[in-house]
Amino acid sequence: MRILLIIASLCLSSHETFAVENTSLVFVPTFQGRAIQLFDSSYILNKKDTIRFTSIKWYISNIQLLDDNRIIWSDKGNVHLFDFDSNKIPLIEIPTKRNCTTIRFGLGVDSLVNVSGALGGDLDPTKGMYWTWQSGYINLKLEGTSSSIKSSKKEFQYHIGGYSFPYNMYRTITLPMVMSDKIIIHFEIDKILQASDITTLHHIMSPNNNAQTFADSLLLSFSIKQ
Amino acid sequence: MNIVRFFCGFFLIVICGFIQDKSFHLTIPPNWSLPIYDFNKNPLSKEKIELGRNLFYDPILSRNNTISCGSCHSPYNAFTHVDHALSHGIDDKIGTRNSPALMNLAWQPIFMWDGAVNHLDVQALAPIHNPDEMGESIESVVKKLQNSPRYISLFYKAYGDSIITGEYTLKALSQFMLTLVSANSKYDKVQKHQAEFTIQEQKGYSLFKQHCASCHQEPLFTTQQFANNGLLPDPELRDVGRMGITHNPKDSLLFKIPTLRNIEFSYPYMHDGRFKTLSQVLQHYNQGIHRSPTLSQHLSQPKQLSSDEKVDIIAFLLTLSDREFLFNPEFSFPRK
Repeated sequence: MRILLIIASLCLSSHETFAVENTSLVFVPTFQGRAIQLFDSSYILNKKDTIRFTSIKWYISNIQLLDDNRIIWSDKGNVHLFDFDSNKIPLIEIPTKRNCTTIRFGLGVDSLVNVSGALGGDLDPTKGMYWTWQSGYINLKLEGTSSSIKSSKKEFQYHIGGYSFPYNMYRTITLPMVMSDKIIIHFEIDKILQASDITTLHHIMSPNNNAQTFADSLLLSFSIKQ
Repeated sequence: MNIVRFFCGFFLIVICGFIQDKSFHLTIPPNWSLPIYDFNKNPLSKEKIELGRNLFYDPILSRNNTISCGSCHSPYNAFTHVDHALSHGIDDKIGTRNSPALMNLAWQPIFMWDGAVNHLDVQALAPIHNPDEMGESIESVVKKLQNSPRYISLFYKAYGDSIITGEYTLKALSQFMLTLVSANSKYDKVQKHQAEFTIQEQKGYSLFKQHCASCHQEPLFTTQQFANNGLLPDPELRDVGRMGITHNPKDSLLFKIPTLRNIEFSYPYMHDGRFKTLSQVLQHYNQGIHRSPTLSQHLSQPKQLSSDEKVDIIAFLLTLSDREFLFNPEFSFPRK
């Protein structure tokens, strides 16, 4: 059946293909400029809080390339899971648009995806990024321990998600960019942690005001290193 | 040459269409609106429905293989958990709510008593993951299914693929649940002029339209909205209902308005199953309304139903029982 369809599509498609030059887009979670290693305890926040990360997972979606304000390329609808825990960091291929001045992407998945029922691939609920007690994807999972947290396990757990007003946690990030063969985007985790006090707010598990503040800190947590 | 190639391709696609035509179409009852569920994203097929039915009745979905969906949603009780105010799940743990009756789900826009779930496809994740219900995870369910030759075969028949995913599992469960349509009660037959109400049922129907239909709107017998129907909050459960999801004080003590179809079989009643009989329910609307800021405007005045009127309304409510639905062999435990 599949084979028949493949033959059919080959018959209907043209033989001509065009070579498209591609650029690799890489996201690297960093802490004060250093690439983060899981289970490494040498990160220090605010000169006093020792931080160790045990899990970092996030979604990037709706990537767009712009020439000033004009969209010149879009992979609208595509969602990429960055699963730092299992080393599944996708290398995203984007076309090398020389006139590109700006890149835009979403941290998380938009509300349309959140109301679309069961989805597959990176959005399959088996990926551990779907809430089960209420509907909705987790846009960012950030877990670890800190010496400054008073609880016995010293754990922090930030599950940032939610899609409906007033707790929509999807954030669109726009960065100036010069096109090159490889674009490395730093996801500056230290900037997110600095936005709230880890000693008092160490668990966010649902869409609420704390999650909102946390999500807003994401807006300033990406930079391009070229 | 190009024309030949085009016709070859076209011909092959037509053949594929014939090979794949195992589709199943849900009949929309007369005078009902179109379903809300988008069947284009999960087209029904006999194989997928059968897979979903197998999953629905299989305790493999729970951590220790003891609880299936059917444990709390039994077909003979309008797909709910009869006799238990609060449904019990894995290790005899008691939940905080009464399991809802399952029917006509293709017309339902939002799920759970507090509307926590926004799509039928993701509904099953809630009981699977709830530590008091099935205590399992979808990741682990998929792994268990992948180790089952029977399921590998059922999934292959349904999806033509050797891999089992969370998406396939959830969509197959939806397929089975979507077929649970109840639209052939005596009430429906009266609407189609195939039967007649007794005098008492007719009186009850008139009273129903006057006192109950603003929330339990025909033909689904629910507006699909949320309402505070004046239940005194249980001091132990401290259930705030819809507000738990929206955080909006206006939603405090609001719960989903349930359908009244097959109500004869879906006792006990209310989100916490506090009433065992329909008579107790009507007594609540007569005398038991607890006043609070979010109380439904339709309940601002107590219903002053006489004993005869209550009996008449119950006589009407019993016409909503659909035995063809309740005892449909296609909906019951699959015989292997």
